[in-house]
Amino acid sequence: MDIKLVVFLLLVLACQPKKNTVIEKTNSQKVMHPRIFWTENPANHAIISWTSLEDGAINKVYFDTISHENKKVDSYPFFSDANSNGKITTRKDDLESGVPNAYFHHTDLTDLKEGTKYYYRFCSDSTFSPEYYFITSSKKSNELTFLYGGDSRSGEDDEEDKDPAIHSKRKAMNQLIATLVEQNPEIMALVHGADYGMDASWKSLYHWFNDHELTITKDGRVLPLIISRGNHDHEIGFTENFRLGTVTERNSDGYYYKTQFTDSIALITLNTETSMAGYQYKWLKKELEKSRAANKWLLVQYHKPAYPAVKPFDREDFARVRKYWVPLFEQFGIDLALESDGHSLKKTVPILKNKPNPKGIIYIGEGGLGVPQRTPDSKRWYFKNGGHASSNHHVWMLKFKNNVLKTSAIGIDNNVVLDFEIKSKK
Amino acid sequence: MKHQFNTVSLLLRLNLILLASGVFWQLYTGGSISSMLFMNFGITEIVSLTIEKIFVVVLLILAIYSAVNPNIYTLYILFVCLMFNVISHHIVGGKHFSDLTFIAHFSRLAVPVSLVLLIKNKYTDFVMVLKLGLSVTFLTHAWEAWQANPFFLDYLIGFSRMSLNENNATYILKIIGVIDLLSAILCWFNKFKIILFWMVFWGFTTAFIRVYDSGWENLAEFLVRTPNFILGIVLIMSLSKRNKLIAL
Repeated sequence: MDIKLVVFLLLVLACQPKKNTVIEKTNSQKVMHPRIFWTENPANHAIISWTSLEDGAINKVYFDTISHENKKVDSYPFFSDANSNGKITTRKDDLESGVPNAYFHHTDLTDLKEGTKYYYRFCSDSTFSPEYYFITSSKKSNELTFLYGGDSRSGEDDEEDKDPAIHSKRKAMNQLIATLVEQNPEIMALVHGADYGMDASWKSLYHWFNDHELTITKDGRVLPLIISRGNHDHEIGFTENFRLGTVTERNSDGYYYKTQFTDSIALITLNTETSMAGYQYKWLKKELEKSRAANKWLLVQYHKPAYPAVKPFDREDFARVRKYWVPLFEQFGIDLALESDGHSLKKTVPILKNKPNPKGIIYIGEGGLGVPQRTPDSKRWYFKNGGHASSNHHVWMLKFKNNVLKTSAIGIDNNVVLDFEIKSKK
Repeated sequence: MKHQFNTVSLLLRLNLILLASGVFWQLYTGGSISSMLFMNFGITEIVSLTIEKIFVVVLLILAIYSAVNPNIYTLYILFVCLMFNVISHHIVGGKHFSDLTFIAHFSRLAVPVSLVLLIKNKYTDFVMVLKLGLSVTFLTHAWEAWQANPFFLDYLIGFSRMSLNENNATYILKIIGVIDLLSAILCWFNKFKIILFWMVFWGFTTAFIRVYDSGWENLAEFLVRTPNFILGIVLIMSLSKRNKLIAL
């Protein structure tokens, strides 16, 4: 055969496009910050979000109920295009602090099967993430476990934490969360009581997202986040990077919604950073009327506390929570209220009409996911005779099993700092 | 003349005590200054709280001393103290419109400055500072109202005993924002003196609604806003032809 013909044929073959083959590069430096948000229906819906360093034309999530690790991405039978992409707003001081320009991406995965493991990879153009997985909630289950914590913003209580990129306490708490999930695989989600960074600028959130990766388990499990909005989350960076679809666009600044974990367990997230007496109040009243009857367990979470452990009780923003929301919580018999903002650990006695009452509501939380801890005022009436207030980095583990809710505050050394049980009011 | 001047001076000195009492009440059990020192500057919590306590005690003593025996040096120190408080609010942030803290506090900062000018017998500058304090504070409130500050929304809805919906409250705030803006502009023209009466009324109403909304426990929020209407009263008295200020 003519040698020229052979060379020509070889060249033609080499130039043939490979059908159905995605040329992929795995580069965690170009696509990063994997995170999952749950909103109203965690059994069938999840928002997969990430950051890319380049403005990709194609941004997708490939997923399946079985693992395709070490295989080509086109082996995944399902994919979904990102439905919200954009350049992350940066200011001069963000870039001067050393964080790069970047882009946000959010993809809604809908019609998921309940109680199912979903393996996924996300991509921006030809750069792919490693494979991660998460588990959807089971509607029929009578059991549920989730973690709750708030306030992971930076501070300077420690010499080495002066650089927000270091923030050793936040990192330690995130590593603890990963350990807890490995030890207790039944944990389904992390409910976050807000105040993620010092503010919602990119220089704060970039490091928050970096540190959040430490919550991922060794086998790649990503714990979905159920987020609220705090007083340090006002900037546009929050809505860009913590987009919750229709929940974000809801009237009155959004970020209030009900998460129906199972048919009998629900969590209502409220937004203390917007009008409490307006649309949100009407929505809450309607939702409580509907949800109380339908759920054995009904909890609420929001950022600023009704019964603060550290800051003055009389402060206007806390008085507003007591004025507008607490009467509704009491009217409809909420089982437990989760609060943040104070930078401490607290559990109140049951409270009804602003007095201790065994039939009342217990308020727990105050925020200990890495933020410098303050000293609470443990002499306040709602901490006496069964209440608790101390200065402790912590995350709460809430285990629902039939009529009992076991609640434990886990300290930074994976030790139980405080635990108690409550019985369902239904 | 002397008597009327004394009334102006007395009002400003009284305002100084009210303002300092409000700041004292706000910060004594832990506020923006200790938060800034602890969270932003890495000073231990106990030291931060102690510094804040000392700060507010000194502020209150200075205010009382200045009210009884006004002199420019203590007034300058008071101004610096109030400025430090503003800076701490700005640095700590975490509130709606935290970026506007400095200009929102203009009327508060104007109290010791106007007293200094009164002592120095600089009548024109004195009136200018009063107008500037009022005007800039009203301008800030105009912007916050136009942007539907959630606190303002809830004051309106709460005042209406929940009969007003958020949409209508937002419209009303826009109207309030426009009125505040016009007030901030028109107060500079002496022929619109009636505007000053409106500003006194509105300054008092918006300060007192904090107490009306959340009870007397919230009195500190009213006290720190007393300059929003007292400066207007002082201005009305000072602009009166009979009230040409002479000397302390």
